[in-house]
Amino acid sequence: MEAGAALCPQCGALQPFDPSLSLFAILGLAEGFVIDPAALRSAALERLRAVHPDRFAQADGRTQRQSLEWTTRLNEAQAVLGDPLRRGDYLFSRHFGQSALGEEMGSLRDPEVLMRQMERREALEEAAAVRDQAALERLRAEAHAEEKQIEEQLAASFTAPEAGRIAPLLQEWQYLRKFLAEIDQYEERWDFA
Amino acid sequence: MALLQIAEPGQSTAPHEHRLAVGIDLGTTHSLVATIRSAQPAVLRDSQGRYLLPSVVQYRADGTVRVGEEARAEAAADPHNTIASVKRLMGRGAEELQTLAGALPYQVLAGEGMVRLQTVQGEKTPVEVSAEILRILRQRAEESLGGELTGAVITVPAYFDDAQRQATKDAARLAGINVLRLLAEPTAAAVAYGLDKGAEGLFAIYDLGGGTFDLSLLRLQKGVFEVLATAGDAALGGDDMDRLIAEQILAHFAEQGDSSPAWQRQVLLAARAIKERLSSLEEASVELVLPSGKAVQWHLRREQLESWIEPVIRRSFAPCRRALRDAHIRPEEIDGVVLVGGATRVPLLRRLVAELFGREPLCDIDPDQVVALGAAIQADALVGNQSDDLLLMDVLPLSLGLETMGGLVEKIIPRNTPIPVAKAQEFTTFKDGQTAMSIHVLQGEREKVEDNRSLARFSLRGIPPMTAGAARIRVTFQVDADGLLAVSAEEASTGVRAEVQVKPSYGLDDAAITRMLREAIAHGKEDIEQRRLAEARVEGERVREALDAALAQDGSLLQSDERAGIDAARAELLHALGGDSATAIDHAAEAVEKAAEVLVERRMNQAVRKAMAGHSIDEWSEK
Repeated sequence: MEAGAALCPQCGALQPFDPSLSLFAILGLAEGFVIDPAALRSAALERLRAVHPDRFAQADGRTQRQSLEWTTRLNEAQAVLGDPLRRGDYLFSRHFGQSALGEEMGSLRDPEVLMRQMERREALEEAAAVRDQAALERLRAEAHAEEKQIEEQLAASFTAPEAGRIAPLLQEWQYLRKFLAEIDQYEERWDFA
Repeated sequence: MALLQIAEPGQSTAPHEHRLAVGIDLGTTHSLVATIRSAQPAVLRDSQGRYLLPSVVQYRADGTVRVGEEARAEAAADPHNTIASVKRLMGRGAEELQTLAGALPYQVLAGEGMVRLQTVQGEKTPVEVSAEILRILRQRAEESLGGELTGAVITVPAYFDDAQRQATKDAARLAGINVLRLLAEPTAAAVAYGLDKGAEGLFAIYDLGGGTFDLSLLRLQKGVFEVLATAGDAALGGDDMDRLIAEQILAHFAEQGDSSPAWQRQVLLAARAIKERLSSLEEASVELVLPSGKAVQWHLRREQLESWIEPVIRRSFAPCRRALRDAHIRPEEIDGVVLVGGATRVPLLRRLVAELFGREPLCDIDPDQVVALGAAIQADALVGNQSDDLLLMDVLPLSLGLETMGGLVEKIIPRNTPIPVAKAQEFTTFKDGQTAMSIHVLQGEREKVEDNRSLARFSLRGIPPMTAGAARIRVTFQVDADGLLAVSAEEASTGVRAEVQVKPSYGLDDAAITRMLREAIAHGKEDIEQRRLAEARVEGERVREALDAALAQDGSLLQSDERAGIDAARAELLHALGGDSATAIDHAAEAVEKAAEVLVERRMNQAVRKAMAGHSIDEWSEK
């Protein structure tokens, strides 16, 4: 079983957790924006099987802690690399030393993008005011379509990474995510009302 | 002492050693235990062949505790000391009870922290009450498996928060059970289906128990059980249906009824009985004995029942839709819907769930058993009896957050994040030389602190004094595979570890658990001592009576010094019988028997002589 660095290749014993491994390295994946979701999943499952706390339910406290640390990190790797926005931002921070989505980076400045986001939000508020479920679905589909476009642009941009080109894309995507979360929240509020 | 041995988990043992492991479903209305027998999961039954143990505990005035059917039978007669549905109180504060179970027949004590119940045996926490149930299940398991348990997997509703999970684990600890894992109930059900029925694909597990509702969406694939999202309502269950029916009965007999707990209990039991009957019948009746002593019939048609309980069932749909949204799954993508929990036997529920998901739900495995069976499978895997690659990946059911300025909550780990998970957050000091700070951890989805569950307050001490804003305190929140939270803190610039003091809001702190454990140990010892003493007394009395009878009849056979020795030993025994040392009684009784040997011998000889008197030896040998 391929378990990466977590198990000793000779004796199969769980090794001390190595926090210096990147999220790509821990999964044995090449570092890059484009990832095959199936390969990511199988790499993660293979490693999780080997290090998961369920395998060490009877082990000593130290081994259990190591298992917990490896598994926690594998879960993080799967979550971050499995989401193209988080993957993009993780790669950005690997290249440029900080997240593109933190406060230090400032926010969206492109007036055209800002305008689009404002219009979108107005449309959402209008639809929400009259509980127009179909309009909500339409807005959600549009946002998903734009996410796809941004993902493609990011894939192209990461071939020769430039902070000034990548950061705005990630920030715009972050806006879209917040917008999608708002749609969910409206639906949830109606549901639980 | 075996009762409270909490195993220091040491890993490998001999490869063929079969370890005894069980799965326990600690339910609101019923609890049960299952294990793997000849490679098949099976529920364990009591001496009367029953596998469902009613989750009812009665504290009796004589100091004994009854659990299960016997306790339930007493519920109407002794409502204050008979605790039912205690699961609803786990990890809860007294102020939350209004929104939970409605009117509780037992006395709840006000105060901070976890609710306490007043019983004839003093104050009891829900943890202690649950431990009584678990103790019975542990006994049942050890008796039918013939050995001490290595450990158990105990199931909890997926939607249980940290305090409720911790309370469950504490209860197991009190019952002397080594908890291998806390497993979400729907995940357990999925394991049972996945392994038994070979189910693969996307599954929705709809679990409506007595007092809790969970909906989990899982991806099942070759031994991998991956929870994609879970949602629920920790205070919604079949009990709510019973209560609605009970309200109707109470209203119907408003004139003849009264407010006594006994009448209320009777009505509640009748409500449950008629609901169960209407799952297979179109109409049914129950008999009630009015407080006046008059017996009456109450009649109900299924149609009427359905109109009352439909709102309860519909309340479960909002969480269903939330889980689907969180997992980005459309209902039509689901390959199967599995029903779990006794309340899912209600025909209307099956119809409505089929409508919601657009497919007929599955219920091939007994919905009462399926959770315990799945837990047994995992328990067996966790102690290493199976080499199958079983991998369960669960999620955090409710977001974890911290209190920030203005009484708002900042989420640090969102709901439905796969566990185990860790998140580090940096804090800084706002005053020069500040050496301590306090952090309030909450669980829930709402924005305001008061709308979420308060899990704990941490105070960080031992921060090196620095100018305001210079200290960087990194607080790490780690959620383990049981869904339980642990916190550690470190000052990043100096590497000084800050001391974390945990004050669980509704849990029991370690000191309380230790005290309860000590009491349980003391009680256990006391019980054993008591039993030994009683046995020794019976035996001592038997020896004394036999001696007195022999002396009365044949005392004359003894010489005076022999008689004196026996009398001295007898006096010693009488003295010991008056005391409360079992060992002293045993020794004194032995001494009496020893001293009386001479008497026994003489009596034997005399008896033989009497029998042979007047006969010759020859005569005897010819016979």
